[in-house]
Amino acid sequence: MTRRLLLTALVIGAVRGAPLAQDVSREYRVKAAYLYNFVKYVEWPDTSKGRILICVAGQNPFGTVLESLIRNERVHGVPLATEVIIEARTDCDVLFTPRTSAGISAYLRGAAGLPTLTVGETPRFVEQGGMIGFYTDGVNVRFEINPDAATRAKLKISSRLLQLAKIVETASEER
Amino acid sequence: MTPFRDLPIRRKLRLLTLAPTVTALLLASTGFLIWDIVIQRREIREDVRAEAQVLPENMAASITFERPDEVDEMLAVLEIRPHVRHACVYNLKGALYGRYARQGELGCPAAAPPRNAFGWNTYEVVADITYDAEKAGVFYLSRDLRDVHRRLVVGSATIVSLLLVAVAAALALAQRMQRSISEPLLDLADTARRVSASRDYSIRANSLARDEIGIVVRAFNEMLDHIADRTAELSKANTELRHEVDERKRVERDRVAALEREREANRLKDEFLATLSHELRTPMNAVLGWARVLRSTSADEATRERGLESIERNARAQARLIEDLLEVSRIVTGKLRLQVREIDLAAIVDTTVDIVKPAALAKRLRLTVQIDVRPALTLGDPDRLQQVIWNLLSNAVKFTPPDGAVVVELTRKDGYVLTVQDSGPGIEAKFLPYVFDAFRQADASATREHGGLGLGLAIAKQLVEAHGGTIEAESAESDRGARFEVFLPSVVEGSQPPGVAVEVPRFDTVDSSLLTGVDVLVVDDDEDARLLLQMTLSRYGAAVTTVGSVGEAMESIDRAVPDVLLSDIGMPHEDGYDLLRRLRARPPEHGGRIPAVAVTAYASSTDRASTQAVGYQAHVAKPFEPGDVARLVRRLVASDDARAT
Repeated sequence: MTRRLLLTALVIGAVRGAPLAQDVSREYRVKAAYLYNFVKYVEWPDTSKGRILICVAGQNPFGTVLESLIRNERVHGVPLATEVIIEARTDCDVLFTPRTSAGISAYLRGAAGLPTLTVGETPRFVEQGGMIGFYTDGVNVRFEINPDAATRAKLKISSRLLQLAKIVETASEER
Repeated sequence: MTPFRDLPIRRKLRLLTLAPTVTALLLASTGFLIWDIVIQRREIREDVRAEAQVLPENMAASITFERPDEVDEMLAVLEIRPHVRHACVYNLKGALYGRYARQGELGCPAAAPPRNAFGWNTYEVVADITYDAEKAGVFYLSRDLRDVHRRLVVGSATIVSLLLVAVAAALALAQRMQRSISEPLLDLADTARRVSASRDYSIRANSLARDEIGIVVRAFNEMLDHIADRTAELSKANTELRHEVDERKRVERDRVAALEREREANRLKDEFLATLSHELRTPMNAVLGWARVLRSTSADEATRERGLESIERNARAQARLIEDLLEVSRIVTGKLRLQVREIDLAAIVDTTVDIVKPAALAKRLRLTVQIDVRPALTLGDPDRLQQVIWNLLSNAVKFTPPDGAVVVELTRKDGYVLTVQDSGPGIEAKFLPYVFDAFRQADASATREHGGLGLGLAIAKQLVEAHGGTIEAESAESDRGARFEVFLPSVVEGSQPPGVAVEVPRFDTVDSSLLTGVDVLVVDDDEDARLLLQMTLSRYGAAVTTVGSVGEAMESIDRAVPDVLLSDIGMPHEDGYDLLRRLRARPPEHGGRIPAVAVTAYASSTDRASTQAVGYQAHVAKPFEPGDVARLVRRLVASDDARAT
């Protein structure tokens, strides 16, 4: 089913003139999948909005990959959606800040106090207040998590996800 | 294999006890074992299922976020589960993603099996790895079941051992308990077998129990009682029946024998009567014939003399015959009485030889007498012994043909042995045993050569035995003669039994003065008898008056009381008894005490007693010896005189 969706996404992406699936690097295909999967391992305090919105800040590096991944998929009983945003918004459930986007810290500030799962790929992303940060261990994509940041945002990250992540403590810094 | 029906009762009981025990134990144990295995397998299933549920849940994230190292790490936890052979994780593409294998176990298969498999040695579980309803991969786990098998083996072994112990215990218990049933039954069976083999119905089965077997045993014993009673009764009835049959047979035999004896006795009697008739007629013929001749007046003196001689001889022969008959009668009725006194056997033999000498001479026989002892004194009845000797001698003379020889010997040997040997034809061997039997003669036919009644030897034997002696006859061969031997014991004087009458010695010479002066009254209805007595007594010098009836006798006595009365007994109107009764009723002066003599043909001892009872002093049997009567009269008169004086 996932394969079929992926194929559909690729076809749609080609039609829209956005970067085709084969143009998207293996790195972002993995990261798109990870983004989608993170949603599964995180619980939001309020799920009455009717959908989970994954926002991509600035420039979209996934092409149509992410959109096709989440299309028609339901997590926690609600459908998923993705949008590319150019400024901080309050309705994002997940906020991904690619390394190419400018003003990451502004986005982070904008999300502060909101139940938004912030995911970045810049080296010191979680130290800056982000919740999940991608990093590369050779060829493998890995991630680190700042559980305190998530807790402050009233997000509950599954212990199974935490088990796979490198845990970064920022509590002392906050105090 | 013997069918259960034919097994001995001990084994039946043992089987009866064991079979349910073993069956129950086996069923229970097997059930328990199966239940245990089922439970264990279910537990294993639950356990493995739980394993296959918990582990994959944690693995979903690791697969999703591509962390096979994490998967391996999680699978490594299975190390604490000793029965897990291996566990494998496959991703969505079906590729092996993570693995765990116990040491020495095979690795994971290239692809996951399609479904769960509860095999004999392994339990394989396949489970999807999902997170939030989304499949992330496949989990596969193989559980080793050999520990279950081991447990099965150990359990079975335990059950079998327990079973053996239980069977042994049950056997021991059954062995003890079955005795209460089997032993009385076996005893019963044994008793039945012994009774049937020995037919001894006194054997009894033992039973002390009050259960059904006891009832059977008691019933069996009662049955034996009945059988024993019945058998005893049967046997008793049988014995009685046999006795009865024997008794009947014996009675029948006796009856046949008695009949035979009777027939024989009748035959002998007929023969005897024929003989008797003949013997009585023969002399009678001579007497009557000569009597007729003598009545004719033409007879001269010589003829008269010959006739009288013949009449006397024949009459004597007849008297002898009748005497013999009476003798036999006395012997047969056991009333033979011996007049025992001291005697000289030699003298008796001499006298007897003198008597038969004329007959012997007439047949020209050589008569030799050898007497070794003289005198041969002993006690005995001289008349009877003379009778015996005369019988033997006259037989010898009679049976010896002319010119033969007769030898008489008297020797002493313990007692006296008299032998009479003749040279006659002897006695046939088959007749020898009966030679001393009464009424037996070697030749009983009417044409026989020798006359006689055949009573002589029978009487001789009885007389000799009455003297305590023996008589034997021998005859070696026919024509070698017969030999008679008489043995008489030598009895000394003084040992004679008391009460035996001793008779006055008799004298054959007529003493014409013996009765001189004696008045005798003779009463007899028969004139010949009256005449004979008158003649006889007159010869001795008595004065004899004769009357023919009792009435006449009484008249005669009225006229003159006689010294002695001689009366017949059997008379018409009034008999000798009446006479004496009437006479004894009179006073002595009218003849009430006259000595009386009964002269009668009624010669039995009963008659003798009857005559004495009415008052006769003496009894004389007809025919009588004249001298005897004379001497008797003399004696009576003498004693009467002695009493009178």
